[in-house]
Amino acid sequence: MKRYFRLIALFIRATVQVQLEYRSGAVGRMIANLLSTATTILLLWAMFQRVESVGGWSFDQVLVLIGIVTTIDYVVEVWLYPSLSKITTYVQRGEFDVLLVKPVPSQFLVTFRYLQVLDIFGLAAGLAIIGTGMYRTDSIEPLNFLLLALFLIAALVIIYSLYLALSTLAFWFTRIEEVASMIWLHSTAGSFPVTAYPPWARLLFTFVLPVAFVTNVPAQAATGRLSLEWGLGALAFAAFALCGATLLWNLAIRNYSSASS
Amino acid sequence: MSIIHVDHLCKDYQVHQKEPGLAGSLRSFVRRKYQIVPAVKDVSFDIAQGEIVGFLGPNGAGKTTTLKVLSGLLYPTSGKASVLGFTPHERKAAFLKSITMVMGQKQQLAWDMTPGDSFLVNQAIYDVSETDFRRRLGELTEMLELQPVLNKPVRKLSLGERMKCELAVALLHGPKILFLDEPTIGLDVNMQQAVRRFVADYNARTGASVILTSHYMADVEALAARVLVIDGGQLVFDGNLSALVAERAPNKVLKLQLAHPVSPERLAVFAPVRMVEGLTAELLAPRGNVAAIAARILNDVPVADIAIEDMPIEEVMGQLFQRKPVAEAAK
Amino acid sequence: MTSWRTIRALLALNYGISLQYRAQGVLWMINGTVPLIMMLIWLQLAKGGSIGGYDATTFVQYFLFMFLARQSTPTWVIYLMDRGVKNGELTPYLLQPLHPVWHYASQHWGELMARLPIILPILAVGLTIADAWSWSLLAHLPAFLLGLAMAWVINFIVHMTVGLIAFWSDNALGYDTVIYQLYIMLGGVVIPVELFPETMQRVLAWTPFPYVLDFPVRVMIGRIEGVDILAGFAIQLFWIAAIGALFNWGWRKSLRQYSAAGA
Repeated sequence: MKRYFRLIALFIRATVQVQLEYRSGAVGRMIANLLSTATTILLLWAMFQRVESVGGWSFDQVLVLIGIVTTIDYVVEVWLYPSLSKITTYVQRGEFDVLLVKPVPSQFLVTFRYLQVLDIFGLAAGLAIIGTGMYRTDSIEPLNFLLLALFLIAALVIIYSLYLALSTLAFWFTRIEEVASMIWLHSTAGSFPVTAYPPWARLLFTFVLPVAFVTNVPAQAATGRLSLEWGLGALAFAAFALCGATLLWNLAIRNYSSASS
Repeated sequence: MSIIHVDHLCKDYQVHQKEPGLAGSLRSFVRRKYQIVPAVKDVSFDIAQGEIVGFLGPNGAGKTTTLKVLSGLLYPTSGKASVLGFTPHERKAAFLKSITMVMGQKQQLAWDMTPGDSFLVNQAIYDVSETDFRRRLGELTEMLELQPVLNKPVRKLSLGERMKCELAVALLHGPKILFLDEPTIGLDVNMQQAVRRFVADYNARTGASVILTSHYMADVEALAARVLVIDGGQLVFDGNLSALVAERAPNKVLKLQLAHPVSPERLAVFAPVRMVEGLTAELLAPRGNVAAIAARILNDVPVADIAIEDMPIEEVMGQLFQRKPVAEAAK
Repeated sequence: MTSWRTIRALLALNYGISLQYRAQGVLWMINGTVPLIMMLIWLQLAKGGSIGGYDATTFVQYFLFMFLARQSTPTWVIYLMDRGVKNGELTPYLLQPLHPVWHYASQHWGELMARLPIILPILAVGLTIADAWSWSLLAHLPAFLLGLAMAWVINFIVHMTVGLIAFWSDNALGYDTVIYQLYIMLGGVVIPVELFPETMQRVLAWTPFPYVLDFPVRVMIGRIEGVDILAGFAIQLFWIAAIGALFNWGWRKSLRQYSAAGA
């Protein structure tokens, strides 16, 4: 176990060094994140100048939702995207063999190789928004924070599984490079409560693009509106997704090792 | 009458300095330190129409930088460069249409399409008439044996085939000057010879001037009567290659194949010994005296075979640069 | 400037390349489905009555044509310029008697030509299902196309100007996201510009953003007519000229900076 933590520390150090080299990239990203968050909130505010509620949620409740999305986006950008997007590169260049030979599970290597911890700004922004929304809806209570943490983790597990599963497709369709777009689409759709969509679309956004579990549930948890069914559903979905993605990954590796030349 | 005129040319690069380790990274994040690296220092020369000239020198000596200034890609830090009467970095259309540059590792051909497709695009970009295009395409196809590869996607071609197509696409507009930067890098021996033959042929047929850089001696030996040796950004030699060899390599090498082992001390009586290994020995003899020394050795030492050769040019160059000789190894 | 012959040749080449990567293209298009998502949201919201003059049908029309506009104007030129500078891919372009702009533009046009056969049917199907098509809209088509073409140019030049950062800084891609966000959010992709609060609309009118996507779409669905359309074109032309001039100046300065790396 200690070995893995040491590896993660090494990976982080290496990535930080590379990032510091590209310093204006770091600054650029900070500005981009700040701007993106600001504009999103601006748009939300503009929308609420015209309507009273969206999908039955008030402005502050949707604000919490936006905060959740921002936080998840941060994790994706800082961790999932840099690491997992390399999968397609490895497959294309046949570099996977190098990974497979290492005495550490390939899934671990792929997952933790590129942790870009310098983009702390996005995380701070996301958490600040969640906090503000919770404050404005009088939801500042220990229980809510606990539930929020729990379901945020569940949400991240789901996103991770989704991302991994889609990236694993790279083994069969070598050029699946734009998985990131699908995740981003997920974020856009997830910025609104599921109830804001037409009834027929709600199914789509619960099980196909699981925004209901990923963004709505943590937001409801934070504002004390989470029902038991939805909470359990989210946890079950997360477990199911992680198993599915890991199975798919192992299947792909087995396939790859036996087929590659 | 010179078509390329270079006068006290200087070119400096700005390189960002970084210390290793995490602390160094943090420091350089806050305050960048730049170092000015002079790449070309006060170089002057003239080249006439129809010449083939080789720029020779170790890696990082400034050969490619000079070429890039001449082709308009870089601005001189000071000094002057004039090509065909134009100032290269102004990049006027008429200037760009009269030159061409082929760089070993960069390509013009569209990766996913056939060479033929890229040829057509270049025809349009360089405004080549249909008759000229057809004629040149025919000649180049014949000279480079392109027939079998013209309609295959570029990504499916071997490195050698790609290089030939790169040469072709670069010459479709009939430029008066060819800049070739490391044209044979990464190619196998056969292909290297083919490229050299082609360049010599092209120069003979069209009278186009050729400037090539290389650190393969064979390239320069085969093609360029005149070499410019650039080392550390400075021009250290400009003239005839054989004159260079004669001046810097006053000795010839006597290669002996011995009938049975002979001690180095015994051989040293006749001439300085370079090496002895088993039944092979090499001695150095001044040019004027070589025949006499050879005769004495043959009389006295049991020799199965003897050869008299020039000192390998790499060594000549190496001594010129006062560094280890330039290796002929594949890159 | 360049010749029609050159453009035709470049288009043929780039269209050929784009066709080969059509599967990729579909994935890229997923980015452009934001208008469709927003359409669903606004549709639900409009169930309670029209909002700011937009009823359900208007929303459908607006966002479907916004989808078309959005899919016709994507720009990845900052990414191309960043790669061009970092890997020295720009160098071969600089040796040709052709401004690299034309290479970049043709790549985009080739891609657009390959994607239209996918975009147009989606538009048609959407309009049919929602019963939002009316033949009177056809009259607006020419003005729409002109506005869209100019919108494409504005968007492209803005990106190219921002892309000049690639010559001066290690990582221009961060700024790509910035511009992209602005263009999406403020261009009408999420909220029709007319539905922004008054003050915001007045501020935005001073920027090019509303004129890139929102303006042509509103022309198409008939919310702008007559003289106002001409005024809109004039403003688009102004932006093209202004940003074009800025780009030209910046390009000259940036080339001086460029040290053809990689050799």
